[in-house]
Amino acid sequence: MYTKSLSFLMTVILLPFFSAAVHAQIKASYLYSLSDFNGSIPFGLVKLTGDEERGEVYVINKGIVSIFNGSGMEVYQFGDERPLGAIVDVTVDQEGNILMLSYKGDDYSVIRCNFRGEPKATLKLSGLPDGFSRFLPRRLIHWNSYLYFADFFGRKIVVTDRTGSFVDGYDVGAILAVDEKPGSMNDIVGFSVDKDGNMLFTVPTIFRAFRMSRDGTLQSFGSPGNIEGKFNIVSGIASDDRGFIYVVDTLKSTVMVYDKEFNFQTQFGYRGDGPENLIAPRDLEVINGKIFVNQARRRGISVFRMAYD
Amino acid sequence: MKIFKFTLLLVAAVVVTFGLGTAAYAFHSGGVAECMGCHNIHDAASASYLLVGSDASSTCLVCHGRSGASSYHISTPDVDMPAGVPPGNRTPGGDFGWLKKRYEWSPRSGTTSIEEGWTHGHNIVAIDAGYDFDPDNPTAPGGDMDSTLLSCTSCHDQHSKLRRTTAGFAVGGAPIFSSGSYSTSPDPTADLAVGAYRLLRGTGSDAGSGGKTFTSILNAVVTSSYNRTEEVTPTRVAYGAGISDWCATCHPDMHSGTSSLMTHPVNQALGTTVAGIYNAYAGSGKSTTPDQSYDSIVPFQADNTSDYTVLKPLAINDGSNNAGPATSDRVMCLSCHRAHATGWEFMTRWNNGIEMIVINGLWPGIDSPDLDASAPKWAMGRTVAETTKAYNDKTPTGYGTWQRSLCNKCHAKD
Repeated sequence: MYTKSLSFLMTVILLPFFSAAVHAQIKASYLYSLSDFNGSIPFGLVKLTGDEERGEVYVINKGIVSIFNGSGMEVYQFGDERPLGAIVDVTVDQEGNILMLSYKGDDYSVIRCNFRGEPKATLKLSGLPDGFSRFLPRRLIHWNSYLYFADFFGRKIVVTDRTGSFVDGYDVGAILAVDEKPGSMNDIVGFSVDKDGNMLFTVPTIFRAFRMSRDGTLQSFGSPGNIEGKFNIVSGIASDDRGFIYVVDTLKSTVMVYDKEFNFQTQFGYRGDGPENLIAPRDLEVINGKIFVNQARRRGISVFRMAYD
Repeated sequence: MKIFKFTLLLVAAVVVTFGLGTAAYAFHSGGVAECMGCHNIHDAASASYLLVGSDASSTCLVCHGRSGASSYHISTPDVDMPAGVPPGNRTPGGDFGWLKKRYEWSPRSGTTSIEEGWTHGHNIVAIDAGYDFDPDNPTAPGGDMDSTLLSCTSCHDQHSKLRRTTAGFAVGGAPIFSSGSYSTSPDPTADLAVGAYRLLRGTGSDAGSGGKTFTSILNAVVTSSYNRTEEVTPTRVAYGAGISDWCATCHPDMHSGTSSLMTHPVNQALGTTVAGIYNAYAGSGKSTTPDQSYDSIVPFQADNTSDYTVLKPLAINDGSNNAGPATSDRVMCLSCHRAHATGWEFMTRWNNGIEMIVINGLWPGIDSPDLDASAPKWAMGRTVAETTKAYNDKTPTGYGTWQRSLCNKCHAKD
């Protein structure tokens, strides 16, 4: 009896150390903050999107799109022309065309631009079923000739072909509503698409992150807590070519890393004034092993590199 | 059919997924929220109270300050509000984003008028989100509360021990099992209580940031869908007893009942004359009938009631009750002001900075195609979208073609 208790106690005491050894295989190092020729740019909670093929990151701030090269320097800017409407998101297709999700009032369209941001064509979503008639997307992602649109507040996701014709629709709200109380609504907050075309999204009010495949298979991970790997208030989510999933926790001011089986690996950032620290991060983008993270208090976009042993 | 099939699949999947996980639905539920939603107990470098935000309000805005107009959002982030684009939320309290909307215009050649953003509302201190204290008012107008201490928790009790029971409001007692803010909220039972409206502080609640102790309860009910456009139907909040007394906690000299100064009456019955004007007035040169006279831009308090069986049916958003006030209904601070912020100076519900608010039948704006409505004097640096949003998307057609201040809704001096 005594031996069993001692074994159990030793297991409990030693488990975290073995776990820590496993987690130590992945490490994040701060590189720099996105800059122009005047130094780092004091961005706040701007929207981020990436062009993996060209190693560029796009920042949308107050309707203006800034493009940064792989070294974190601003190389181009567009979007202050009124005819483009209010740009809420951009993505880049295989040919390098920039696709902009743009609103004029409640009317939205996708404007296909060349690499200079000059409009060449306008796409409208077509063939939306009745259940998607009030679909108002705020996120646009191009993946493998498909366009993914996410309506965070309508809690719906639509996939179209490259011409904007409806292919698939997902009523995430119907899932989340199963256990909601009157007056309470759990919003989707973070959204991205992984290398296999699966949709990743977070729902902070239930302390969970989800991965949904195109056939509707749904998996989730996360639970409330403060120790490493647990969720406080999560937000942005993204993944890399190796299948690692990165989740921003705004309240903990960290980025948490999970493997593709949702096993926690490591976390980095933490609230503080050091360059490697983060203050209330909200969203992130992963491009070629670099993690781009936005944050509050106008501390700019911090860029980290992941090292995998 | 394909969608239906997918939805079925998804629902089945989520039943399995959630069934294996910890259920943690909703957040505040009328009382103290999920602890882990605001505090970081064992991890990282925590600030005071183990909060991870730089200050209390920054912590609130982690969730309540997200992008997009959705239920509980009350602060539009900077990134979504470039010049000419208004804050997106249309809650009854207003969007704190207006605090960052600075307007500059030239009403006549050679002159410049400037309206600073911080004049538009309560200047909560939320450093992470870029909100700072009011540079104009070192203390609360009409009071002595230090304005550098103003935070969300000055008014809202983040832990919300105040509850509504079958015997009335109390701090402690039966457990809170649900929000009490909504027309759909359950009623308290002998064993269970519901939360106070919007987790607002009240009599017996611990003093919040700022050190003021409330001596009244704010009674109100709202429909569960409240952050919405009022283009077609108004969002009618059922305001009950205690509204103005509650505001007077920090603004005693703004309350006619506690001030020795000359100030507009509040918490007083409208009486026959004013109620009669409200019920007949639609706009400058336009009349209406009592059953259609309600205007959500100029709301009133339902008598002095704290009876939630009376208040709940009044909280609607479908336009099914547009009746104006009875003579016993009351004027309150919120008849003219919103609680958070508005598109106008002094956080008033309509523009009091100029004599006309509707120009040639249109909301004014610098980008209006109408020559009159785009005149700098009327537009005051705003776009049409900004002016429209400041009225929660309400159309100007119900008002006069050249509508004067909505003070006239009760006074009809036009």
